Amino acid sequence: MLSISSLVPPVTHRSKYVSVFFLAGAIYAAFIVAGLPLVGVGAWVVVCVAGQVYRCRLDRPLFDERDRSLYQTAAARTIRTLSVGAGIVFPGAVVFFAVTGNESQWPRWLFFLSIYTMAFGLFFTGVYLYTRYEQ
Amino acid sequence: MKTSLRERREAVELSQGALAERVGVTRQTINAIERDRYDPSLELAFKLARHFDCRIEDLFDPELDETS
Repeated sequence: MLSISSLVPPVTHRSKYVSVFFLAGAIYAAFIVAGLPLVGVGAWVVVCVAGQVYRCRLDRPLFDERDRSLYQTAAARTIRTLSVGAGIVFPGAVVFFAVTGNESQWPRWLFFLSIYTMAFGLFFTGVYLYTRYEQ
Repeated sequence: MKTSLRERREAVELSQGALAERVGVTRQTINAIERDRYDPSLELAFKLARHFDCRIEDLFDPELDETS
């Protein structure tokens, strides 16, 4: 006979572990909104440590080679998306502001975004070169 | 990559979780391998083959994969 509990998938250790960090983030945000940022940081640290203790006390791996593979694929897609996006957005913005005669009117957020993207790209290049040297 | 992992596992009445524990991965990984959603590393393929006392070629058959 079917019961409600048999229809609901069991909560896995992974779900619990990931939930701990969502909870830590929510608590942190709540204390910041409440005007108590230091308490928020303290609570965040406590909850994160509790999550790590939970992970260490388990007798089975929470994450394995498939998770690493997924992580690598997601990271590669993120890098590719950012690269293609930057390759389109920034030259496009230069052309746009040049054509419209507003070369000095670059929005401040776009300026900072371009600096951030450049720094990100340089950092990635450094990590890539180091990894190639290492392997 | 096609695999006979599920058939071999069910033949010895082993759950995905129990097999995962024995080869040191998560149950989700065993499930993904059985559903042809994930190709295991060479190390894990060896572990699985050793566990079922067979060769890697007996567990995994890239020739049957029509998409690659």
